[in-house]
Amino acid sequence: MSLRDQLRVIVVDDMSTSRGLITQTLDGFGIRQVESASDADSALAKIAMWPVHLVISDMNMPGKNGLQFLHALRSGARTQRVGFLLITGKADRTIIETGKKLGMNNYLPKPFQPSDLRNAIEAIVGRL
Amino acid sequence: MTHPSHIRSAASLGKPHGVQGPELTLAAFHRIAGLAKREAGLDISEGKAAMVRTRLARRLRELGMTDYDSYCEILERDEPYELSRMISALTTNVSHFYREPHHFDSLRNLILPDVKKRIGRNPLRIWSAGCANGQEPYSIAIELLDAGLTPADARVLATDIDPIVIGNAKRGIYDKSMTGGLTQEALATHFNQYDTTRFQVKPTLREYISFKQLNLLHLWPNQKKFDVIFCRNVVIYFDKSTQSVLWKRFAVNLSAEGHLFLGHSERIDDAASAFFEKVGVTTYKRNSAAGTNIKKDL
Repeated sequence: MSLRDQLRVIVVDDMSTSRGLITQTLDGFGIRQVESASDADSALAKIAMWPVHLVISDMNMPGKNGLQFLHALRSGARTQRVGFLLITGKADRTIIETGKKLGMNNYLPKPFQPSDLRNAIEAIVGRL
Repeated sequence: MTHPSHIRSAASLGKPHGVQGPELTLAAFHRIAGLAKREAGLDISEGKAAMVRTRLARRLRELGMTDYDSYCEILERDEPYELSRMISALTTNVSHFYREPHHFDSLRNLILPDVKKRIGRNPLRIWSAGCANGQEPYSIAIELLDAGLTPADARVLATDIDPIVIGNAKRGIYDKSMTGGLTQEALATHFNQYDTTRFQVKPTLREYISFKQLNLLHLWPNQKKFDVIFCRNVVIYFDKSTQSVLWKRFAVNLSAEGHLFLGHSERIDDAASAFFEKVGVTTYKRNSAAGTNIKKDL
């Protein structure tokens, strides 16, 4: 089994169109084990039942934002080592530096091409 | 209207055997003990005749039989189904989730923290040998899931000699009274309410486990080594020489520094002690330095 067959990903974004765009792109990479959630808390509940290797999360969401979500992941025993890719609206330096301090693995500014997403993921988990 | 159940209960009422069932003669005991030895390597002394009688009484009742000689005749017809029912009646104990919890503490605190995500590499492999109705492999799977590992990172092989209990284990349905070893959180997270009194394991937990029927005394599937073997309260039913062979086979099938967990009354013997280091209560670690040529002894 190749890495893309085994890789489990959850996509977290409150906008269903953005979620759909990312999950379709992942599907195009051959990543089939993909779940999605519309906010951080429901994502945390899903991960408790279905652990993942990689979280792809938007920054701006109602409830916990992307960085607060990252903090919650790094504070939990079962999720502290999970890969985290932050999708940001703009490459805000403060957001990125705070994210790095919290243990963010990579970030990707919008808008992005499928190849950008692929590169960002491969930088975290290795070649798909 | 006649119901078969009425006929059977009427027949058994006619014979006042009580819960212990019909008398087990010494001759019948030796026929049964001989078959249990031949089929499953069980070592049943005469002192255990009362246990045999109690455990098989229910089976005789189910079959509507009133004496052990008729039952022995069925067994001696080499009926694999009834033989396996008998072995199962003689060996199956009531099990529960997180039985002998110190082994799960060791798994959680000593073994799993070293398991990094293994995507793209070989998963951690755990064998639940003698998994009965599944409480042991499901308890292991809860630990894997709680450690954040996916089925690609860590897997459980669950085997038992009895195909019926393997079927039960796969279905994973447990009465409320059998879930005592689980925390409320684990029950809520990993189980669905099946009906008013029962819970069923969620597919997200089951997908860590492969269930297979396997007699430990037969050939084992030729496969990669295990990192952890749980074989608890299984070998107590085997005679010493069968146990001795098993310890070495476990050693051969464990990876370097792999762990072996045994039941509370079980210990590896002197002959196998070269291959293992005792690291806790009924907990052994494969000694990587010794025994590269064990296979020759088997």
